[in-house]
Amino acid sequence: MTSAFAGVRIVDLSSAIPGAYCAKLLADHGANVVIVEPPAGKSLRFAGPFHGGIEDPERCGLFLYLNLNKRSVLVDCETTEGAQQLGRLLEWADVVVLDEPPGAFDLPAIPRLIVARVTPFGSTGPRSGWLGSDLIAMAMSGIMNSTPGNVDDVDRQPPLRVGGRQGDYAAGIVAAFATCLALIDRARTGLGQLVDVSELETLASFMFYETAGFSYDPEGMYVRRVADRRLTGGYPRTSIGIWPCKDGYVCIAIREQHHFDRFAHAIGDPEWSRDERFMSRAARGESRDTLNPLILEWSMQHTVREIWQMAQANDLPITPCNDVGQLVGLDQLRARDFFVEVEQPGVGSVAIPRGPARFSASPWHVARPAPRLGQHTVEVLLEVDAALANRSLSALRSK
Amino acid sequence: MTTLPLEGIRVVEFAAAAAVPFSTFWLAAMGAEVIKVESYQHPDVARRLEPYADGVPGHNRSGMFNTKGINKRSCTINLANKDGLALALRLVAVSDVVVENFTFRVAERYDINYPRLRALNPEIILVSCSALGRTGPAKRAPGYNENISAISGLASVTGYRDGPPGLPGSTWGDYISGATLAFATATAIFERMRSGQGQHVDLAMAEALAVQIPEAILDQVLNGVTRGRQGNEDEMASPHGCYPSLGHDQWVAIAVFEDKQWAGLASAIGRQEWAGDSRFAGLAGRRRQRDEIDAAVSVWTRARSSIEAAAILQNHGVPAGPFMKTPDRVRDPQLVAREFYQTVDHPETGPRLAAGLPFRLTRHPDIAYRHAPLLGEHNEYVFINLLGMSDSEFADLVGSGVVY
Repeated sequence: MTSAFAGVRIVDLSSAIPGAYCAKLLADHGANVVIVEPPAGKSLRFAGPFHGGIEDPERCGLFLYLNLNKRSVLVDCETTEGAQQLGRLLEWADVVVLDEPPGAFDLPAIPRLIVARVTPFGSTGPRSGWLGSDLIAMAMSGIMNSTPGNVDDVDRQPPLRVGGRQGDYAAGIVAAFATCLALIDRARTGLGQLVDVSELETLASFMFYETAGFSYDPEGMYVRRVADRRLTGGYPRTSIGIWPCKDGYVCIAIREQHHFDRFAHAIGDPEWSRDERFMSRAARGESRDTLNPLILEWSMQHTVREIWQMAQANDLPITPCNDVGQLVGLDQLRARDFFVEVEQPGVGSVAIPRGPARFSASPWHVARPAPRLGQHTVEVLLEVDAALANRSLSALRSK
Repeated sequence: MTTLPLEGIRVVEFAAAAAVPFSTFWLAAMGAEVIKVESYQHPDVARRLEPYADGVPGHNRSGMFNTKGINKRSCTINLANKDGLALALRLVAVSDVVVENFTFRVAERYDINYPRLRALNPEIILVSCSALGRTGPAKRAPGYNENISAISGLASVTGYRDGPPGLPGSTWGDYISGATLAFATATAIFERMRSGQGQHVDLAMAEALAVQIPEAILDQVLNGVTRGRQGNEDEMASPHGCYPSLGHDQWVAIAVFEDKQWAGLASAIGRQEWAGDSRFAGLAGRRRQRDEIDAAVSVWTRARSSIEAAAILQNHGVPAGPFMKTPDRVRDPQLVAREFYQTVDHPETGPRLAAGLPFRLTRHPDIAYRHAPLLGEHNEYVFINLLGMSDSEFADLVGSGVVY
């Protein structure tokens, strides 16, 4: 077993989720990540949820998750000494992750350094200095035009973001991908570069359906399916959507005719299932006001478990709609050891989710829990001094 | 032009629909040679989905396929035929990465798995994308984006506070999975550059989506608190939401995290006295007085276009932005200035708009955008140039229905 990013030195100067998550994805696969904290600690230490609901920077659940496998160095960059320490950290680093807009932070000119800058709007352009957030990116990218979709009154029901702060995490994934590309490039050329990631562009790049509709068929499909929030998302549009059942919700995503046929058979071939108004995907869309109540009548007679068993026995795209408690208890995730107990000082054992993908040769791993504020200041600064001294020595020797 | 980071990496794509082709669109733009394996019998399902160019159906006219297929190649092989499968494996033997989203049943039928591919090509990286992963009791369950958004808890936290679970729009889960696949593939490539070893990447979309909501998961595992739907609310900001602006279905999003931003909002809307008012002090105070704040902010936003309101608020140091639909988004000055959208010509549909990459690498400023492949466009290249077949061998495969 190996670690993909073992030996890659990253200085994480981020203050918000996208940069912190980018560095986390790399740290969880072995990168040597150091977070640089001001005397008051990073602001993410003050974000919830807190263990036991007690607002304590050492008990912040989000912080302990995002900073697993990282070390913390306390540097007061307002002082001359602190600024020098930061300069040496950047000399030492392979990658620096930051989320300040251009101009707010003077980047040293170090040719081998990769600068991963993840900002709301990108490092160039007329709005590069605008302030953003998950909500703002969601609104501007268009994802809100189909979330939650099928609203009745577009002037009263506001567009919604996707639940949580998922745009921030998406920008973090993109930043980690782009940083990895820069590392591949540097392994060949020895040169670093600026990696300029935009959260708005990240979400806008997910809008294939809408953008293609507008560009390929603006008078047809775009008007029919995308233009208005009363149409978009389309859930439950045909036989696709979230349905209440006897004890919760299920998600039915029957698209293909063979799915519909097997579904009809599995629920006992009701008479309506042979109605020609439901005999194709397009026809089911047209007749959804007739079909939806029939599906609802069936779903309300069954439990989530019954429906899930029926779906698995018949190879159908029908699944439970879980709340987060049910997600954490899900057999499939338990069987795959998705949650890993991490001993976090001051908090105790915490079940942390693994990374988003499984690697057979270079797996996700836990090397250390999240750091206390400044826990590794001396250790890291000594390491940096030794590494830089070594580098000067080799440079001298090669002369 | 500098060499792109993934130049020299050959990726074989046995995948359709949204998630995997999205990831390989990024890989191809970054220099990888991506070869799609499909057939006339089973073309990428996106080829037969709306929107079609000018509403006219056709294998080469789908907007979804033609935008995600940019820079890729297409060859047609009948995998259900024994010789077809053998031919596909010859392609695997000369490639670096295989990406697949077979259902479990089909992967079993074709016997496509990591041990078998590694025996053919020891350095191969196999990237598998499935609903629930390649192991575990539910590994056989099929699932679309909607199913996985539901099972992973995303729907339970999306929606109005008093409403039912809501599905994230625009097949969100496919794109989160796709972005994650791109990261995972690049990670495995970097790892192989250093160690020489290939590996199997097993992406369960349900896991890739679950990690999108760590705040909710942590509240559950730390405190036993099950978070539900909160509309547009956020525990770190108030006010935080979409406010109606001038026009039909027009909104401006506003997010106030800090006291400084609150003072900026108060000043922008002519309520300077709010800044010093103790009733609104801190996040907690503003959350308590939410109704009063929302009413006053709405009166101000309703009198302006969403763009104008957002610009005024930004000038006062308040995070804000207009709710935009596609026609506004493709003309957005920021996205236009950064040349985010590209116009890509195509032999059957003519020039059409496509979204580019959401990041820039300063050493690689010029990314080429070549039209998505016509179905089977690169058969000769793949079978003759790459696999070294003679013209007559190739003709035999076409005649016997192996290449079709």
